[in-house]
Amino acid sequence: MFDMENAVREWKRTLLKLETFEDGFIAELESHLRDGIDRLKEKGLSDEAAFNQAVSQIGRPETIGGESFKTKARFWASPPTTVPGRSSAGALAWNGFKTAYRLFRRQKGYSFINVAGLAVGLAACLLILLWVKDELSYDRFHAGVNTVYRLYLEDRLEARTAIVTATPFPLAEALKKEFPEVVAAGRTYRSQFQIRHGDKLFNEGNVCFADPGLFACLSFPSVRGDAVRALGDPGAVVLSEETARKIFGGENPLGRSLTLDAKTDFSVAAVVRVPANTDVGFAVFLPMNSLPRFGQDLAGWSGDWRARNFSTFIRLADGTSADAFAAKISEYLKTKNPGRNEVLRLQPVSRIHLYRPDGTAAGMKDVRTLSTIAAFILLLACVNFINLATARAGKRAREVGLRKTIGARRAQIVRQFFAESVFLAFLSLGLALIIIGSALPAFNALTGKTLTLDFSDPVLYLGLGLAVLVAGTLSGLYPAVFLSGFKPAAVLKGRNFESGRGSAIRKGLIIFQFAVSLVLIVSAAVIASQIRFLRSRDIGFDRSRLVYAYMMGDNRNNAEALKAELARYPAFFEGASACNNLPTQILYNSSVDWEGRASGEDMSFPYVIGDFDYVKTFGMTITRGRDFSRDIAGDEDRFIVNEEAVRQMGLSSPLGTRLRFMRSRWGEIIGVVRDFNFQSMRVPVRPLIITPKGSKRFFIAKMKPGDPEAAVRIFRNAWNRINPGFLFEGRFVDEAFDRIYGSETRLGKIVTTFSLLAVFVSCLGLFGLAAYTAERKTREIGIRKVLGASVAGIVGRLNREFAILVLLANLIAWPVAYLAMKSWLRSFAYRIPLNPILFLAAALLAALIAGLTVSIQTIRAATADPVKSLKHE
Amino acid sequence: MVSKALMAASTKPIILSILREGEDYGYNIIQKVKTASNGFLDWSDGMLYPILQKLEKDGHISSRWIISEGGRHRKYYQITKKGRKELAAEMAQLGGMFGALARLCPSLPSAD
Repeated sequence: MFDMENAVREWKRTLLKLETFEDGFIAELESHLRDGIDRLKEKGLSDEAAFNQAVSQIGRPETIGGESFKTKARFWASPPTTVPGRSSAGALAWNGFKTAYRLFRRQKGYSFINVAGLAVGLAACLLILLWVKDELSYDRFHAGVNTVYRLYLEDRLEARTAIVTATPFPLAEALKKEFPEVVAAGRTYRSQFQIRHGDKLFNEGNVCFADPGLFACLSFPSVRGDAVRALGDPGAVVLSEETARKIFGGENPLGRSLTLDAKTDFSVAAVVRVPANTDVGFAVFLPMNSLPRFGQDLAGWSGDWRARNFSTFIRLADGTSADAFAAKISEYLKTKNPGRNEVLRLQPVSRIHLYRPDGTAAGMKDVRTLSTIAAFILLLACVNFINLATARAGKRAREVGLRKTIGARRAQIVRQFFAESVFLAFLSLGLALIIIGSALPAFNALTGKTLTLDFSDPVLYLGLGLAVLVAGTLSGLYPAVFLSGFKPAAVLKGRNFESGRGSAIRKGLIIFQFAVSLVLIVSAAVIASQIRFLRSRDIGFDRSRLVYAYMMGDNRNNAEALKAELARYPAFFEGASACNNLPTQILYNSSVDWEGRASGEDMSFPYVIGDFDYVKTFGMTITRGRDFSRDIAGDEDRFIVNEEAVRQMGLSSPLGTRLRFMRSRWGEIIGVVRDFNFQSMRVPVRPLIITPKGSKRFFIAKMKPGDPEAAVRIFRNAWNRINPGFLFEGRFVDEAFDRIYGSETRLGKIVTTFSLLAVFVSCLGLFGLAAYTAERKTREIGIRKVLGASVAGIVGRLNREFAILVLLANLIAWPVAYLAMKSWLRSFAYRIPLNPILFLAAALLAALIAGLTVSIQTIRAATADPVKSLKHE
Repeated sequence: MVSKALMAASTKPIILSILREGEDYGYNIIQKVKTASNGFLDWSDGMLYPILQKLEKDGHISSRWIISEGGRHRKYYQITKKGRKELAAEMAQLGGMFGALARLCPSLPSAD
């Protein structure tokens, strides 16, 4: 049965939803409608037909509303949603922002906590993303980067497979000649030189010898001159832009002359652009065919397939399947070195920075870890927003009720809350940009990068817009849905709108926040103590009070003279040694064999060239046999090995055993040195051979305790006397040691910083929530006080609620942190046990911070005069 | 159908003309328009009210609420002094225009 009155009421409701209709206007239209219905009924129409026809005669309410608005419009009024021809989305957003702005003004404190929390979260997130973007950009700028590869070898040994990124000299040319898929190939051979131009003198450790073909593989475009042609001329040198600027300032460097190692002159023939985000670029490129000028035997190398000293890069023809080509060449080296089980492999050049050659993540792990942290911090900041917004729901409930009563649809209210959160997110973004701007130098110091906010980068704007949208939407989603669901009747009657569901979710979110913070705190603590452990661990030699300097060119022959010079100052020096690698990082391998070895494939051990004083200077311990001695003829050709080598060789009496070093140098083992860590502590100690014979690059002086500055000064003077014209750059061995753990140290610092930020953001949320809880319970507190409760009792009561949440957060955080850290520690061969005290300390810290935060609010509430609160409520 | 521009130009004099005959309310005004124009002016009823609002705002008409015998609330509109002047001015303009059209195009259907 058609209910006329109901139909008219419904029709009126649709008018009410349009903002431009005033009450009187609607009454007038209603009266018109009823007149129309009466007339149509007189004509004999049914109620329903009369109603429908009358309504359609009146026309669409939106159109009428639009016309009506035009008659009232003032120039500053915002257009209502009913104006035809205008974008209603834009109008809505504007309306939303206006409301949001008013809300912001009305609730300054609350809004500040919200904006500040979100800003810190956004800033942290964006800083990390800047870092991630930079990390991911390494070596992606080369033209046709997907066709450029670095070659590496897998040494398939009995016990394990070793990966070697250095390749034989003839490999590049042979591949290019024999495989049509290879369109370009180039080698680099890393070196270091002392470079002099006029009175400018400096050590450059980032030099390489390179083929012209290198620039066909890697894109370092020529800024001046022709780099490809330059690398064919044994008298030419190619500089990076930065190096050219360093030496010549703004002058044209082409044709100018550089002196390398005080002996060999080169003429600058080209300048190339080498970006910062590359791992395969150099400061100085020398032509490969200039190696003979340094006394190297290129002809000999050309036939040597066993020595591995060169990095080889190739560019494959477009459309070549890298996998198929890799399979094709994998056995190639076996045809050259029948005795060895070497497999040739490819690594995309764009993956060198973040992955090991075998494809496992190296730096990529840090990228993932930090991205996760960034996401969690943003999430924490959003959780804050959600918590505060739903907690304030009480205050907004009446507003929602009112809006609904006068006809707002739920979708409109949802939109309203989204607009508010996006508005706050925009404010936060502004603040976040200020924070980033001022924090960037510190962040760069922390990460060792030179990141900038490039405001001309469209990706930045896209990223920022996306961040705001994600933050705004994430943080607005729950409040929007929750608050818009209020029943207007219930709310306006003053019924309790604090639904149990809402407060449970809020508590869940707090638990989540604190759990994340706790995981970060525990992780930061574990990383810090692992690094401390690595640094303080007895690594088998004494790395303190050791100063070293690079010996360049001819001064390599002056090591003994320099030792004698330092020996004149016994008050300052205990001894000195020359070697080709510091014991902190021994890089080279040699194939080995020994008398009485059963058989088997080639084995290769790391080795170091250290003179007679090496073991003594570094304070290593000889466990069997003796150290090298000048007094015993022939010690030059003998060897000392470490305990691990003895174990791997399976010798019960190593002393006197004859060992084959390199290809043909046989000599007996005269001593065994206690194992020491000569590579990163991520790997266990490997076998080692110490041999005194060979070219040495490092000169190390062991200082006496006392006056290191004076000792370094004496060292410098002695160096300058013995090696006139060569630069002295003294460095400390323990700093070199610390650098090996640079990436771990950096990660530790970053995690610590950002976990503190996470805790800060969480506390900001807790602070706001505690303030709200205390406010809501004003009357309860008043009554309790009147009835005789003590301040301490009330504070304890209020704090207990939050203490339980922090406790629960621990229950979640502990297993997560435990598993995460267990897996991180697994990458170290030497590691700390996971100490439960760390977990308890983190829990205590979190509880303490949370307690302090909450107490600021609760104490204020508890000490308030009950008369006031009771009078008002 | 009448074009939008012509409609916009003609609504004001039409409504003012109707109100010159005496006080009236919305529903009746629209009926009179329809009757007078033989359905030639086919307004949607609702569109009348914004025009009435505009006229009232400009001071050409005034209004009051009256409760009819049936208990129905009706808003009655009267023409003001200003409205009469406005109507006279408009009519003069329209008259001038029709005269010009009639002279230019003798076959123009008369408005009888």
